[in-house]
Amino acid sequence: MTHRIYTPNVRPTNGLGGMLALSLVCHVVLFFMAGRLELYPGDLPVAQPIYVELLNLPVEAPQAGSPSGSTTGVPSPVKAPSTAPLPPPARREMKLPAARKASNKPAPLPQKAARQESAREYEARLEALEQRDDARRQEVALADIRKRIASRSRENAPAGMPGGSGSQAGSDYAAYIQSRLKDTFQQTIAWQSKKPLVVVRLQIDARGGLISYKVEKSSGDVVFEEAVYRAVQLAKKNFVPPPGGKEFGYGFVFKPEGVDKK
Amino acid sequence: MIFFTGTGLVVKLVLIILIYFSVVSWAIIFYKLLQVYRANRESERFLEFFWKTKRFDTISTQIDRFPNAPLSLMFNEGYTELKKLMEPGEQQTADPSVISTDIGGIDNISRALRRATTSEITRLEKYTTFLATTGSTAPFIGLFGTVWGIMTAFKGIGESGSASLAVVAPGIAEALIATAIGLVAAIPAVMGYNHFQQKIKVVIAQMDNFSTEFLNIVQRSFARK
Repeated sequence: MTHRIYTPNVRPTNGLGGMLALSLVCHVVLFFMAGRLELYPGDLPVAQPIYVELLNLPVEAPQAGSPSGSTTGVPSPVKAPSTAPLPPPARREMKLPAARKASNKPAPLPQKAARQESAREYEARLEALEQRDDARRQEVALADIRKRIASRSRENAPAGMPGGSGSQAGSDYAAYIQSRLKDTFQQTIAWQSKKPLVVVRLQIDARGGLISYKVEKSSGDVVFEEAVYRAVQLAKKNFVPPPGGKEFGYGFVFKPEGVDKK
Repeated sequence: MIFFTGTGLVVKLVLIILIYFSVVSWAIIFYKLLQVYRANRESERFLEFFWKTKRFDTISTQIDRFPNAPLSLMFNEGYTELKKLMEPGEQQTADPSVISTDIGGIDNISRALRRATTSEITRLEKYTTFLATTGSTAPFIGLFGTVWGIMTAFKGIGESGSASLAVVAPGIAEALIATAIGLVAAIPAVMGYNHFQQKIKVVIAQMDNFSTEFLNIVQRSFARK
């Protein structure tokens, strides 16, 4: 007697290969969407400082001392007078008109009017003379101050530095960038290691745009590096073109205490 | 992105495991959605065809039209068993178109149908255990990453010697990202698992009903006492 054995029907199961690829694509898309839509609260709007640039705009050759120095030393084209200060002129004694004689006779009208007019003319002339004298005295004193400041600054300070002999009112461009970085770094600062330090070299084009960001030195704290990067990205919105229409490159040292120039 | 790069080795490992769980869970969800949708749709079409046709041999020739219907597989199994019982030599009956219930002909078909049901349930439930595992363990794995990250963060705070927000916040935030990813992996997995369990229950009920109907038809039409 023979027995036949039948193989039961079993439906094959497909693998997950295609669906895994689809799932991976979905995850990547969602990840980038989350980044693009700025869902993470790290990019919340931050109140931007309002910068009012009056005298501190960076220039090629900043004037001696702080920008406030420009208030005392007004532009060089002013000519100093060659003459020595004059002594104040002696005041002229004004003679009072002679006392009127008491008389019952009324004076003739035309004569009285002529006298009053001559007194007014005299007063006006006197006032003009006094004003002219005051102006001359002030001018002489101002020229003397300018002369003394100029001679003192030329003695030993280099051009463009405090106490130097720059010719323009304004500030150093590196200091200007540093101040912007300081402001934004206060918003983004975060660190995890003991003494994080990052040295960054920034290259700024002639129009004030950031063209390169290079980390020259890092202590390895990724959180701190990211904070520095975000600070630079925020600060670059407020950069003005470098003076002289040239590219500008400079290194800045970021520490938890703040930002220094390299 | 900073929280992925700034994390420690353990938290990174936790994040990789969670991302793996999430990717595989989504793949299973997509796969099961397609599988259960096809199974339901084709089962309905097969039932309609079955009740309209009423001839087993005709149905058997067109069974390939329903490759994903569990009911079509059951029919195929039942009909194959029926044919085997009706073959001369297997059943010693006078009329070859009639099967005997005395030696368990109906029971044979019933067993074949039960086996087909089990096979289909196994096929439909395949991979769903991974969803259940993800749903139940991913939050805990994430929590472990968070606890470890906070421990590391506090250690860092101690080293830096400062308790300012700038020092405390990044460590805590990067630690909490592990819990967040754990929940992101677990929530769809739990939802998917519950959804598919419900759908599979419906398919099982359909298969049980069909099995009963098939046996009734066989007993009415083919069996003899």
